[in-house]
Amino acid sequence: MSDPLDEVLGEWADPTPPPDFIDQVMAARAPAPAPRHRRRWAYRIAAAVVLFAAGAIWLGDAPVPSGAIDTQSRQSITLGAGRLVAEPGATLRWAQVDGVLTAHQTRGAVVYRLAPDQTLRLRTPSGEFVATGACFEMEIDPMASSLKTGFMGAALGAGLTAAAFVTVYDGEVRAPAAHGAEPVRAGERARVPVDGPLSRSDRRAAPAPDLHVALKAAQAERDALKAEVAELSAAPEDARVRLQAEKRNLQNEINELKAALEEEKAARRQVEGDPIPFPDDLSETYTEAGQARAFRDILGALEYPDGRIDAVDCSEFPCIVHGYVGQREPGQAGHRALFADLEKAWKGHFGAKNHAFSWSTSSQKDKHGEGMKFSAVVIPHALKLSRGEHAQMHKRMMLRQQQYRDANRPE
Amino acid sequence: MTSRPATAPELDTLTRARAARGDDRACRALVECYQRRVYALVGRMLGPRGLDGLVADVAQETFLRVFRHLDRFADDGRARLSTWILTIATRLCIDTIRAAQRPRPAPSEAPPALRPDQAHDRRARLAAVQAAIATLPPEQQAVLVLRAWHDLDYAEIAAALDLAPGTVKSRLARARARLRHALGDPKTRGTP
Repeated sequence: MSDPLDEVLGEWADPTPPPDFIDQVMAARAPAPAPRHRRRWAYRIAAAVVLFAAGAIWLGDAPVPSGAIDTQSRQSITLGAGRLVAEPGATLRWAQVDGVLTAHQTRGAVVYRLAPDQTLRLRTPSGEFVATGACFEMEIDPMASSLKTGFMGAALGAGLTAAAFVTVYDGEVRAPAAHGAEPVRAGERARVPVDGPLSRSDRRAAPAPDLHVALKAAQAERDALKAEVAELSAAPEDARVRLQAEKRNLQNEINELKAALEEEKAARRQVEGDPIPFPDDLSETYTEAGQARAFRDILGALEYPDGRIDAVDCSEFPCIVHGYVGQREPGQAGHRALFADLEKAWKGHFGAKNHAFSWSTSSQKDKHGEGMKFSAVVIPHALKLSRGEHAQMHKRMMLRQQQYRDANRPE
Repeated sequence: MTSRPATAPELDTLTRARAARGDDRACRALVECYQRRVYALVGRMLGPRGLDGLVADVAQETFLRVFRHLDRFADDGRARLSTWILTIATRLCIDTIRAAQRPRPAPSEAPPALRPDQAHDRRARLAAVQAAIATLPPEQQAVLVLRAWHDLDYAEIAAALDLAPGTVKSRLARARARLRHALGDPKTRGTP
């Protein structure tokens, strides 16, 4: 039986702070601002100490010098008011051309974060991209890198693989297109082959990629440092000692952030699996153009009046063809009829003996309208995939298909 | 009794380190994390003594002191930041009560007991207990509040108030006896 005293004490509700209590406390603790010129001076010294320690170059708002990197490990570089993070294997050089920051990226992956009014011309093997105040990732020819690690054999033709992939996280990037430039906006990913037209992946860019988060964290660290330096400016004789301590603290935090980043990547890999590299000896039939052509032929043979291909997602292997067949008989009967039609048609087109065929249908309304849609994958038996590779491919296909549906939900 | 779960959230180490360096967002996060606990403690310390008007000021002063001395908090893996913050709040409350020097019954004087006809009136029972709390010496009140609502163990309370653990136990027992008497518990009549 409970103690009557405890029962009474339990009836005494917690006194609660007023809604603006935090603001009151923060206002009470706000230190008087230091003189501006002293703050700036101290900030630059502090920033130089920290960034020099990190192997970066800091030039404040000074003009961007020319430079070049061929990275063996991840590098973070400040370019004027902007910043880039180059992944291992990236090759890049940059300079100020006619007052505009101009970079040439020929290999690897680089994340660019531009200041709000900063413009970058980025030349790649696929053409020139132009961005102002955007945050985006440029990846050159990722399939070529898969040649080293791909599990399926010999080299793939260079003409087939060379392409630039741009993923935009914030703002807009103007990508080269057949008729001038075409915008790729926040949340979009596009592939620009060397000799071909721009194609958008219907897969949305991840909303908060790891590197983007890491950059944000680094900016937060810089802000913290700025506040600390403002305080230090009142006692410059102690600044050196305290800045050294601050540098150690920041380095520790950076290490913690990196460790957290690696954990996050590992967790994501666990859930999503690694993307499947394109097989090295893949026939043109199974590429984006080949699949689009084949499925157009199939729909043509079926004589569906509204049949069309909405997207061919070749962001990784295998390509997934997303199509629309118009209004069909509702319910299971419609799905079964579509399946029977498609099965007959693809067997006739590809040859049933030598291929595995995976597909799904949906009658959910999406941005392409009402009616029945299908998503289909064709895998040649000649690839001789192991059971593990099949499982991995299945996991990735489910994920990509879900991403496609999410991206195409009605507004 | 209202008790805090043993796993009440603590500020993470990284944010705490940033707060110690004066980072605005980290300081804000610290206040957000602990404001309810601090406010509850200060409210229960000062409210029964008619010092409600000082609760917000004392709670605010607690956080200002926390910010000033956060770099002294020993992170040895044993101490909880919440305990350290509540210690600061408790000491401020005791100082405030002493400074206020409100006339109150002498510690030895027993509070009025609940009349038999009020024994089942919840509001009257709570008011009687609050009135009795106001007659406790501030340190005894602090022991009661930290134990009853903030789940501090005897060792933590002893460290917070700079007392021996045995003294904490005896003060808690005396405080509870006085409150029971206020509730009209016959076993405690005449033994505050």
